[in-house]
Amino acid sequence: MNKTVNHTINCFHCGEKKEADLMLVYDDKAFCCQGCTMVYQLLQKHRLCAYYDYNITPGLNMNGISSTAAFAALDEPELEAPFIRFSSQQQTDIGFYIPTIHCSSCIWLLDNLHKLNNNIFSSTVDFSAKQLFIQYDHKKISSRQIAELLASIGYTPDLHADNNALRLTIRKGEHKQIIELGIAGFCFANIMMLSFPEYLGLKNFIQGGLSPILFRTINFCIILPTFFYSGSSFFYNAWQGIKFRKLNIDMPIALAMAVTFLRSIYEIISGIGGGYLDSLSGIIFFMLIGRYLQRKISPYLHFNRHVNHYFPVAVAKLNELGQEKYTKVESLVVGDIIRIHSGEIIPVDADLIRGIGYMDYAFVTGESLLTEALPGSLLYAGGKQCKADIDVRVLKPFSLAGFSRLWNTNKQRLGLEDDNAFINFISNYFSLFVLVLAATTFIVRYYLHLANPLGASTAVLIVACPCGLLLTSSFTYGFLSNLFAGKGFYLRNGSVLQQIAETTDIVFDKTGTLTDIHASVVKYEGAEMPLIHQMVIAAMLRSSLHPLSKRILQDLQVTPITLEHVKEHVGSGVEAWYDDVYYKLGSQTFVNANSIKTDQTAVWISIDNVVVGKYILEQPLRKGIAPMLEELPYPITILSGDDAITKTVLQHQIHKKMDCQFQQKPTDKYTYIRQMQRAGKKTMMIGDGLNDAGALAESNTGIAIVENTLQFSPASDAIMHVTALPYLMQYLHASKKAHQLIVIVFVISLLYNILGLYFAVTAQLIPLIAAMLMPISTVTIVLSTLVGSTLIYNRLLKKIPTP
Amino acid sequence: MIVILILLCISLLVAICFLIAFVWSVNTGQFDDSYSPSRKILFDNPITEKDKA
Repeated sequence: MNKTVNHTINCFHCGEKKEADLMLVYDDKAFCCQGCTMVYQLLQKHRLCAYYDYNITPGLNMNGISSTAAFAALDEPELEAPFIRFSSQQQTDIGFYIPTIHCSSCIWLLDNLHKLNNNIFSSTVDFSAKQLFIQYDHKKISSRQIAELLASIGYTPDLHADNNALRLTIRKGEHKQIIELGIAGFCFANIMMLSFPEYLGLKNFIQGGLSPILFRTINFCIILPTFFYSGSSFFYNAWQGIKFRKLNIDMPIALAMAVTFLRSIYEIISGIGGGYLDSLSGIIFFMLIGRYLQRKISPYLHFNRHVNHYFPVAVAKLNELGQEKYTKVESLVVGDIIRIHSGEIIPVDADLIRGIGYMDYAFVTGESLLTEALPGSLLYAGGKQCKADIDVRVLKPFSLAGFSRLWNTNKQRLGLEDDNAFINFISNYFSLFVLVLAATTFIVRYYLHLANPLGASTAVLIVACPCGLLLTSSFTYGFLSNLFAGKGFYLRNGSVLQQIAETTDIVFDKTGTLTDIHASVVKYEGAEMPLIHQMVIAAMLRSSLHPLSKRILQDLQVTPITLEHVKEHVGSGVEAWYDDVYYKLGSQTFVNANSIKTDQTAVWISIDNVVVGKYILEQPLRKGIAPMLEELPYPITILSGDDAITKTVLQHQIHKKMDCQFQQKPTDKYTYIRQMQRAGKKTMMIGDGLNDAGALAESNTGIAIVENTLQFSPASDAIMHVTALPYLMQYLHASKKAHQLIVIVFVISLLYNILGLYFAVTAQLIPLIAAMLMPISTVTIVLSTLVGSTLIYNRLLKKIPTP
Repeated sequence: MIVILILLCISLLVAICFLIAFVWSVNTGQFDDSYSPSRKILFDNPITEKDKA
């Protein structure tokens, strides 16, 4: 290994930044870890190094990739079946979901899999769905070996079969949406063209021997697929609204569409005119564009993940002979013995029967330190075993694990895409007004014996449909949520922006959200110690198996001494004799420091039975968090699963008055949010783990924080990349501006409506005017929302770094 | 004026053909992945030292 100058360089494979002298050097290239080097060697051996030519550092960090033992599950036909797409005598076609596919190099490498193993015939990547389809010779290579091969180059397949099914459903939905849009566009363009004779006056055409009935009949035939197929979603949504007795914007729109359609048929049949089919098809087309834009953000990002996706699909169950056999977690029964490999997650509550558990419960409880467990102790579902393999006995079946109950308290986040309180509110008043106006027009005209009362009142309904409002909101939300996504803030749908704008209170989770679980700092508090004492203590820490000791040792700048008389009392501390001095290291009780009042968890040190000091593990806030918290003009609460130890630390860093609640269990967090919501507050909950799942679901806006978008995150309204969190203020501001923009543009669109209503009430709304008003108002709306959104982006969001 | 009738039929026929082609292409997944085909065409196979220089 070569030593180079001490500055940070990037790993050739994955781009991880590290100090140069910590890098491994191979083939004149620097690598951050053994794993990355191995991938490079493998690719080099198979002449696949072009991988590195298409992108700089395209690889995936191989450090901490969990073991591939779990792929043994694919040996079970029952577990393999969902992935097989097709199988014949000669070959099998298998499809894997690979969340780590991210760049063109990935496509290139995965398309060339056959060069890595010649039993693979071919492979194709579907980039947007992050799926890989492989055709292979099943007599020579098994699906397990393929999965292991993929994992060995960093593309670990996801074995949750329902992911595949989900992708298929999403895809079908997308297809339907695009076809609806295409048909509406086709009909709109053709009807517009065929309506020209009507616009220009039919006289010339009739003289030329053409009947107006011809154009009108063709128009009528073309409108049918638009109205009944493309427009069906509006009717469906309106029907849902009626069924659940909840008003939504699709109801007045569906009504206006139906009235326009019926009146047009009437006009065509009775030979009065061509009807308003051009405007009808046009408005359906534009509204569908708006909806498409709003939904397009990131269809494959999971906002409503099932808790099962956090757990492995199958675990190694031990039979009587002690052999591992992979079984679905759902089919585990009480008393089964399962083996948890290092890096795997325990799917059920269980008893530890062999080995020492080093459990990471950070995601489940928010506790940031590893928990050490000895045989006989209870392990909770959701914990991740960090070192070595352990055997455990199942205590509860999978479905009864404690957290899933919490997860299931989630209120269902179903409902329509545009289920937006503000929009629905306006549209209700708007439709009420329109209905009253239509009725008045009819009555007044009827009693005053003016011409055509029914025609005038239906014209009111046609021209004053709140489609302007729908267009305004869907285009504004669509534009802005796409801009947000570019900065690492992904909204479940556009109307989440409205929820964000309403926020009155913000609640943060601490561990993993405000602090980085993996970046902790060791602090020493107490009397200064001579070097020799420090060296002995380092040696004691080294001999201890406790995760806390390991962590402290990492940060000590002393070389441990060789100790002969050292003894570890598991769970409480270490004692040692050196040079006739008696050292003790461990919990408060262990070193007899109980007289000192403290609420901190720390490692205490006593020398010759005199307490001299303690080590405290501190977690610094993520970069940029403290200023962000201070400038937020909202009441802030911090909920933490940790001890009150961190309270003082937090108060050191933030000078603002905040409500800090510690030792919060997941249910406490949930209840806390619920009380706030009941008190009429609109809370925004920002959290990251399973322990926040209940709170995220209960809050008005739940935002899950992730370090990368592949990571498992609890169900939420929005997913935010950590790099975006310091700019929360800007996002809140932008959401409020978006709200104002919608109001302004809506008022503009109302002007067109009023103009149209004038024509309608006076029974002058001829199809030509309607056909002119509709595109002009649509263009005005789209342009002003585009300009407005760009202004908001430039003023508030441009500075935010792209993740 | 009867020529308009002929033109009308032709234009509708062409438009319907395009619509059918569009629906077919969506359903066979040709719009599913807009990223990888555009990259795949740029991949030279294989890149040699000479090409790089």
